[in-house]
Amino acid sequence: MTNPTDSELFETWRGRSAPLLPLLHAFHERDGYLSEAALRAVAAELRIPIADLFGTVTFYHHFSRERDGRARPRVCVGPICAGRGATVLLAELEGAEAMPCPGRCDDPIPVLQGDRVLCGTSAGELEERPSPLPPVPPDGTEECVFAHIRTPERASIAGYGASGGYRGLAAAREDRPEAVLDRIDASGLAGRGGAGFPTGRKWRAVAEASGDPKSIVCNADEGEPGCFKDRALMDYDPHAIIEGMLIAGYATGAARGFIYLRYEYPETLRILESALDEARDAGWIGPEAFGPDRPFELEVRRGAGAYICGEETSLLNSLEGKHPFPRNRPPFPVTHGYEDLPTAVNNVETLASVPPILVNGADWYRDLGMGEHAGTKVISLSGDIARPGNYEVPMGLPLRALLDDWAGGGAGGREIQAVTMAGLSGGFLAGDDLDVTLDEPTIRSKGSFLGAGGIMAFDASRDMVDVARAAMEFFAEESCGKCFPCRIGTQRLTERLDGGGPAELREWIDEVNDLGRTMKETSACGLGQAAPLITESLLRYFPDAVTRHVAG
Amino acid sequence: MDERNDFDFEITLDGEQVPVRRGETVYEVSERHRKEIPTLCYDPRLESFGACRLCIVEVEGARNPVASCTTRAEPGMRITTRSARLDMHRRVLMEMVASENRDLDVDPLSGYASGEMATLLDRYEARTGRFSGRRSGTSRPDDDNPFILRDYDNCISCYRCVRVCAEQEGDYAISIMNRGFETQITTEFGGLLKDSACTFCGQCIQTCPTGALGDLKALANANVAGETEKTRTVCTYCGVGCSVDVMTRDDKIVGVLPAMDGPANKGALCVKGQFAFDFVSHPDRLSQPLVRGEDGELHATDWDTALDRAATGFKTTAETHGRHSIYGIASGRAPHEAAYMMQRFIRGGFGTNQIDNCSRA
Amino acid sequence: MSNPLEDMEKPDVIFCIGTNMTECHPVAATRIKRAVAKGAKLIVADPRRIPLAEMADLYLPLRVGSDASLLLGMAHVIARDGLVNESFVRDRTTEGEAFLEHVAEYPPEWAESITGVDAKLIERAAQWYGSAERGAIYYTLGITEHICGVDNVQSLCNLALMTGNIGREGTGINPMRGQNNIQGAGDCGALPNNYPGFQSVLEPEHQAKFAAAYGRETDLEKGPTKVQALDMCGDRIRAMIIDGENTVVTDPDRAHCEHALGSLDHLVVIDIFLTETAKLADVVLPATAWAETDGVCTNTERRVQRLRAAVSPPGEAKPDWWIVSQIAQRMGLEGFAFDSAKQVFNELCGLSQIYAGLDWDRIEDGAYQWPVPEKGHPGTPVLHQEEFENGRGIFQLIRYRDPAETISAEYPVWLTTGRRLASYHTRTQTGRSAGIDYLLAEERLEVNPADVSAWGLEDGGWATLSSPRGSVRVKVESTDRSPQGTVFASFSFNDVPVNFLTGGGYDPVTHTAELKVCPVRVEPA
Repeated sequence: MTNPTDSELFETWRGRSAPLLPLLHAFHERDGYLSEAALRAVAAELRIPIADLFGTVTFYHHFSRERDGRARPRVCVGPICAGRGATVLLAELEGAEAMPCPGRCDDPIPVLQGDRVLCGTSAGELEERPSPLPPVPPDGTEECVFAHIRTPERASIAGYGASGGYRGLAAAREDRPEAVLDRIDASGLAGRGGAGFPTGRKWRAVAEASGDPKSIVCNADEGEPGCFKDRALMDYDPHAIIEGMLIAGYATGAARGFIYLRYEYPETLRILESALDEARDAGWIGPEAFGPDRPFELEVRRGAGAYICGEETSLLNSLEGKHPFPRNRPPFPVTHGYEDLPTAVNNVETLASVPPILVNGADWYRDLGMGEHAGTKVISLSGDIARPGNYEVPMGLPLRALLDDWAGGGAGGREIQAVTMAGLSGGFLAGDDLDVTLDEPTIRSKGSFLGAGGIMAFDASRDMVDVARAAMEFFAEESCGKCFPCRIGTQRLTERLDGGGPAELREWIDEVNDLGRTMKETSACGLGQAAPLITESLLRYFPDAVTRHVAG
Repeated sequence: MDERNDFDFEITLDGEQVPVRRGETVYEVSERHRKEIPTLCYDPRLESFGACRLCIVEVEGARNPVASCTTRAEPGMRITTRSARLDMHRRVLMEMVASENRDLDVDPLSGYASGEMATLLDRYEARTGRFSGRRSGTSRPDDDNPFILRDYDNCISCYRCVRVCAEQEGDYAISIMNRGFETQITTEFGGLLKDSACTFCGQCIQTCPTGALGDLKALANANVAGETEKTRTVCTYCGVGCSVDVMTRDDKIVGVLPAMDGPANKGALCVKGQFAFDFVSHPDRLSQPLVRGEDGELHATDWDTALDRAATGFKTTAETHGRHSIYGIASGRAPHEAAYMMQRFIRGGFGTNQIDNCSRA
Repeated sequence: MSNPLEDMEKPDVIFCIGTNMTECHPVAATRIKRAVAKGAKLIVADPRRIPLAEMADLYLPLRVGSDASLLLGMAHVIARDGLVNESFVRDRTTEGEAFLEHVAEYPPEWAESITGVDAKLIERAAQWYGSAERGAIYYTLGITEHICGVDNVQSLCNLALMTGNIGREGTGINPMRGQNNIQGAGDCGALPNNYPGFQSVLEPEHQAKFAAAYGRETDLEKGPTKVQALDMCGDRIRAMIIDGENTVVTDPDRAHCEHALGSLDHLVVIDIFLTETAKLADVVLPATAWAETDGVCTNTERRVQRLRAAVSPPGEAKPDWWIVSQIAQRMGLEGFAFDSAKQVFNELCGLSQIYAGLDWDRIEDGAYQWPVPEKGHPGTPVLHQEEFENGRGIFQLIRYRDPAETISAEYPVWLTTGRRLASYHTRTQTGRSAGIDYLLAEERLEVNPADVSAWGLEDGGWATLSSPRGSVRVKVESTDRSPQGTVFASFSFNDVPVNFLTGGGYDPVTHTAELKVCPVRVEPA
């Protein structure tokens, strides 16, 4: 097979929505890197100023500007893999580069090489293997999004149909869109990507907003370290997400959808594309998706490595081919989203929850939670734990129950001294605060938040100041650089956790607190607002370690 | 003039009811009421950006302060523009910004806005040296262009240069490379300005609030003694008529600033208007009248001699060859008074219409 | 300009023809760029692929000098496709019917045969402009420096009249003025046909008014234009006073020009430098320069603005008006005793109906665009809102004419001339400002890469450029900006005096030289 020419690539994408990222990937794959000539050609084709395109390309981790750069192995140095010998592996592999957590904490250490993900803890062990399925929950615990995920062949349209697939959409289409919105409202379903905004309200806002075409965007840019739940859902139940998006499209009046998938999930990309082809062939997606003259088009767009693109407005800018800075809000995406038109941006897990809600009813979903908490939440549990993996827990489950009863307690029987919440964004919980229940109000009362549901466990052998430093370094690296408090603050906090800053303890603590407070209260988006939870919780739970650290 | 009818609703601003036009930002309303909210990433000619966060205000009912430049005023809003909490954040933000630069003070000849950061550092008493650490931005001493200093060690990543180049000038020559603290203002492929889409209009210099981008031609005059004076006039080049403020010291032009309130240009200039001013003091300037001597060469002389020679020549010619033997060509470069006097001379002096100007070439 | 500069951000369709605005009027061009960024459609017609063409939605690469045929073809399509603004034509114009009949003869295919622009593109341009809610036309010397300059301007007026794109915000016919006070020179009456304020010299009423003011009656006939006057030098014209113009370098046919000025009995030149023209003078009088002079200027949108002195002039240099008034006084003429620029300007305001509402103090902030017919009048940002100067807009039945000289076996290449961003005119100023050489050190002849090889040239090598009037040597730049068969040079550099070559013809009405078209031969040197 000969390589496509520039004009063949342009021809493929001419007139299509959101063409920049796919075109860049096409050139990246064809040439093994993004050459100056390629960027100039793309800029001319899409009429993007070349300086802007050059700058935007440098924003992403994985677009290589060096010859053959795409093929270089990228080794995860995230919080879990760092504790499993990632630095040694990085040194072992020729030409390897470090990368932030690519969402394989339940199967460390992942190495991304071109289109493949290899896993293993040493160079000799690296192999390509399917991503782990979620462990089976304790007896009798009813699941929502994972209910059928272990069914063989569930990822194919035949297997999906055989286990009840596309019945939610059929149920929705028997009703008016308005009634679907009512049912989602009644279920209490809220955003599972971290923000927790009621899904029904979001969809209703899109339905009521003026401007066409409207869009449904699935946020599959699962970039939070320690989060890998969306990967499991997409790898093993892709049609559930597609069905969820179709229901969202039907309910809101949208005519197009995009799945914005993080770069680090190449196998998932293949699975999604094949599922989309099947759904298109079956007529679920296409010019008459919702009946005559009621089209719904749905495509995958692949990110290029940027944590901030998980923030919904950065994601939209990235999708549109702009510099992926977050947008100022208001206006919100529900009125001014993709191409400034009404857009519902929903997390993978949220969308996957929709079909079972429509099949089993709002009350069924609501009752899956414990006490007054509605529904379930998938927790990605990793680190120093006996059985890491994705667990779909009832909202309100005690954290201790998850750690000890579901996941077998600390690895090797060692005691867990701290966990992170919301991946890294929620900072640490430790000591008595490990006695929380897994629901947003309770965790927020401890100065943290549940977020996307990544929990990393650290046993007593871990140096928590160093864990905090690595976490802050991640935020500093991923800060987009737009707003001052985040851009400067994450850097200064990293330096202070790395031996910098005042030598005098009181001054050191004052600087860290002042930086943190201003970051929390004045940063433009969640990254800068959440990052100081790391230092805040470190000071709260581990003051002695901090004292030792400052004393050097 | 009573403008009250132009307003759509009211908000409460620091306890006072104030009128608002629909679509106005909280910052714009506050500016009208002289609240002097600090900013570093704001330029009234550009879209609000929301990067520096200095313009935060408190909105009743909101947990965190909001950036007033990107927040539209809504009916019934209750806004506080000054409080101990806001002052604390602003001071910390200024301390943070100060920590990433090499110089906190630059020569005012650097550019129109070059003192903005230093002024705010004083206002918030933020020259404390706290938050010290690595500096951001890498200067480009390799860029040998004679106009624009690219001293990114003093860059605070407010992106005003990037935005002015795109939104105001439409050149899109400057962009943002990398992320976070590694952010670097750049051009296509990180090259020199002359190899980019830059037209050297100087707009980036004039909007830079720290002097990281500086006017090299003006800075070359930094050693000229005396106070800098500014004189408002109009650019001497094309017919657009951009207003400029000519900066002088000791009776010498040291630089040009665009007039932000210039009716034709609203602060915009091009390379010629911004930088091509020193022909005025060029040694080639004619400083004495010249008359052609018997030897066929031009010789310096005094005004009386030269003017008499000029007058006699016209008088004699007209007497010998008639009044239609005299012709005048006026300039499209000189002021009205010159052109007016030229035609008055021909019409009033000879009674002919033998006058034209150079508009045909 | 019929409309103010700020209107340039308001059209939904912008038609730029014969204007290299980003280089020659960069600050005005920023407004076009903003309009385009906001979604306006940009049509650019120019023989060269200028920067404006790069940002255009529709680029019409027409052959030099073929503008009138392009515009006829567009008018044909507008009429054919029912895009004529019937009510505007009925209420505000005359000769509309004859015009529509006239353009029926010129289909776009005919225009293609002359311009070389694909008929489909001509159609699309006509349809865009014809369907615009607010369509605006911008042009510069690419339209006027032709033997058919007046025809070209009139053809643009025809387009605006037939579509009603005039007299409203964001529309209009907008020539961009190239010099800081070229508009002002006309306002002030430095014209052979008009007194100040464009009052015709043929009206006895105006004659009487100025006779009363100046104490001498002026002929009731037009004077010769500058071009005609240069032809008469040494014959009828025996003495000349030239203020601040480097005539021999900027005007066409330099040899002719030098000869003309050399044949005068008496030449007085007022300037700030000893220009090539001043070197020919009997008396050279040193003038104050920009930033040394108090005064007034009018920009391209008719905005009357103050100039202010910031520094002292060198040596004994004096303001131009003072020099001229001194010569007059020494000739024994009455009424030339002025003390200040303010006094001169205020006399002008008293004699010009378009400045009647202005005086020195009122223009302090540059708030007025003329006409300002009386005190208290707010000025006139948009012309022709209610009616045209002479009542109705008149359609003119223009026909296409070939340039004065067309390419031949001997001179097979079109040369077109113009300015560049970093140089201004003959570089008397930009050439003496530090740093400008960094951007533009020398003149280059822009040649299409295919022609470079076909003609045996080399990028960066030397070429000889010849026309019937002479030859110049110039370095070659291989660039796609030039189409095949057309080359470009500016007239900025004295060592590449392209105006030795130009001068094939003049517009019969304005006597503007055909500087934009000159058949040449290009050979390796």
